[in-house]
Amino acid sequence: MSRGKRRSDGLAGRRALYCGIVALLIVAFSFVAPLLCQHDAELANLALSNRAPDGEFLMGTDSLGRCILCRVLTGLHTTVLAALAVVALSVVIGSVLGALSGYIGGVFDSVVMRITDAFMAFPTLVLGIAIAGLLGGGLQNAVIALVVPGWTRFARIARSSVLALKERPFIQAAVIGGLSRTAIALKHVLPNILPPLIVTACLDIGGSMLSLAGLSFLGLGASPPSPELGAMINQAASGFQTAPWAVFAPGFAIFLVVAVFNYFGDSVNEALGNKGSLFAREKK
Amino acid sequence: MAKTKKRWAKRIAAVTLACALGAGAVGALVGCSSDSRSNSDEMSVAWTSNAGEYNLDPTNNYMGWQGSYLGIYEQLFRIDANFDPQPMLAESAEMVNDTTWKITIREGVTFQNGNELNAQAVADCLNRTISMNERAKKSLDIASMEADGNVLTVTTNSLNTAFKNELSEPVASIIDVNSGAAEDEPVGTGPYKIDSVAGNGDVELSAYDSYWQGEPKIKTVHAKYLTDDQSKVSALQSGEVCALMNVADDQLGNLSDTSKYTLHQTNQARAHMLYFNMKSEAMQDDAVRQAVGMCVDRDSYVSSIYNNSAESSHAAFPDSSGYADGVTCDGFDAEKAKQILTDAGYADNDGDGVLEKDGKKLSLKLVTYQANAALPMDCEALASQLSQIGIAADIEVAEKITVRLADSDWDIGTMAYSTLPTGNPYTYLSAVMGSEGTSNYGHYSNAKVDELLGQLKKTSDEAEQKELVKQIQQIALDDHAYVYMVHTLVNDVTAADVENLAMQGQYDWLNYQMSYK
Repeated sequence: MSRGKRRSDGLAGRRALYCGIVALLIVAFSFVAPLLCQHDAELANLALSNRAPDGEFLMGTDSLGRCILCRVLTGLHTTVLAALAVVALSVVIGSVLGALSGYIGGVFDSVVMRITDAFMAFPTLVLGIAIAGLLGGGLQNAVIALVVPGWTRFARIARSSVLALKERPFIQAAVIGGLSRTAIALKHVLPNILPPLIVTACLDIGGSMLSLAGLSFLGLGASPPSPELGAMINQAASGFQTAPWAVFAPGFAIFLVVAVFNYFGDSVNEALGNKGSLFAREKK
Repeated sequence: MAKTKKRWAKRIAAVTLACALGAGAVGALVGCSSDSRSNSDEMSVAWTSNAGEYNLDPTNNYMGWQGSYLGIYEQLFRIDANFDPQPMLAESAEMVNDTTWKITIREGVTFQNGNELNAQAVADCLNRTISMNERAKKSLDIASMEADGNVLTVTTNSLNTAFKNELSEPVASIIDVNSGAAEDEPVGTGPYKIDSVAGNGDVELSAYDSYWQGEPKIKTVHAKYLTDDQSKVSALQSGEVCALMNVADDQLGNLSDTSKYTLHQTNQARAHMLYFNMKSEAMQDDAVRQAVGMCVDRDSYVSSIYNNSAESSHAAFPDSSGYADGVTCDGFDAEKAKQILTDAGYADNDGDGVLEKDGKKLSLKLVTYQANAALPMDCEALASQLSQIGIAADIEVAEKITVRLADSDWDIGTMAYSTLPTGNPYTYLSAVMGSEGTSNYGHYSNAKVDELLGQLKKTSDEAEQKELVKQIQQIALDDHAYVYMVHTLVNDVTAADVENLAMQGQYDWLNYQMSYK
């Protein structure tokens, strides 16, 4: 490997690390953010409605006189947590079903893959809107609505990785060596299918956050009065010309968080994806 | 050196191009605006529908108001600003006996195709109406009709003292049913006739010069069908249209410049109200119902949530109707509400901020719906206030409120309800407060109210009617069965240079007098 190539890999790895730290900081901040609020994020005070940003309310107030900064901080917690839940559930369900499908093969494989085909025939958000519409409002239902179409991508990736791995000499060696199927799956298969799943998961966090905000914007997400960034934009959109701060604050929060997670996903992809698999190299 | 010159040349070219494009865009906008005014016998307006669908056949469900707003058709009577029926296509209606009405049709009125309006044409139209619309069949309750020149004698199945009111509902709009296009392009007697209806809902209208009240000043109207509130406002701001109907309360702030826009507000007796579910364990306690009612800060709702496009209400009907004088309800008083709950035995024993009684937390489910933008906001404000007095409130936004309220697992339901759609209070009171009422979602039942409703149905004496209406409301309010928060106003906005484009009654808008200043 040339020195230039090694330097490039090192840079990509460092960038992924820094982005990961920033993303982790955002997640950590989202947990403590509600504690930083000086006002009750849900307490309406109609006497203070649509107040422009000032010393007391740094981001102004909304039409019900609630502090927008506090609602953004609390909403950040809700949105980030819900997006992580969507991705985590999608990864777990998708990778388990996909790996089993690839490993077992046969009829089970065909059935699982046809199901994924059926789900992937529709755009994720469109299917999500339909499911959320059926289930009704609420953040929990919004998460379910995004997980139902979301797991299929991970199932596909896990399955194709397992199929490629199954024929690799080190797996066959493990079989000849007498290792149990469970041990092979846990020690050799799982670590080797993780990198592409991690990359996809990282890239998915930003998208999930946007989808959740989109569902809430359409009234299919968080129930009022709990603050959620998309729902806040929806509620404030009608007064955009008279109280633009009520739209900008949650909008900027979504932009910032989604940009960081997308950049993190890209940098992890660069650090892992181009080389096939860093973990795989170590394990081999 | 040459490189620097080239770079500067590029920059200048880019700036020039940007300026040209900007000037072009501004010019286009200004041009659009001035063009629409310069030709003074044409007008572009934006029309809309509440449910996101349109249909110009007056008998189609509740759609009759749409064509009525557009000046296509009219009714025999028109409900005025005080909710009283005034003669329109009918000159008079006389109650001959309990089940017979003699209606004299106005002479000299013609349909937009030139056909004469007479008693037979009205009978043909009403026959079609009651065959097409089940609601109209019940409300008009017509047994038979006999036409003789300009006199129509109607026999009803039962006593209907509010027959004139029922005839003023848009579903009973008069169209020429023999023209063959009643479903798609109805021919009415209004000042504007349909030229074409586009697939996107845009309607091209032209003046009917033989209109019975006078020749319309504006000869051509382009009625653009815009349902999105922000698109409507943008269309007016850019000059694409010069009048908007049904502007949402939260958009009024964008049109507050009185030098550019004129706001017309009409009280259509549209109440934003709370139902209490009498079958819910928590709401069976009168103290809880009273306390919840006292947490509704009507005046603040009007100024903050409704942008002053509503009036605080203390009864089902607005003051201007004459059916609410002297009817009283509890005002906003959170401290007193707290005291009422304490006196009723509620206390926060575990210090979590939520009151308890007999080991049960006082936690309520508020159900609202998104089709009405203000009601979820009312709920949020109310839930916030309830939390201050120790009542936990969980808000649920339902898809269809009437379907949701038909279930039993809710405590407080919100609803926007037209309480005087035909000016007749009996319709609303019997549906909502009667024990067997079709819209009595809270299962409120009071024998005295039922008895008074029976009396109200039979009386034709106006003073007695008003007294009964007030008594019924007062009993229900004293039982804390309902809370009336506000009566919203219908907002129509025109450009400042448009005149006489405002509602005269409850279901009209485009008219023969509208013009540019």
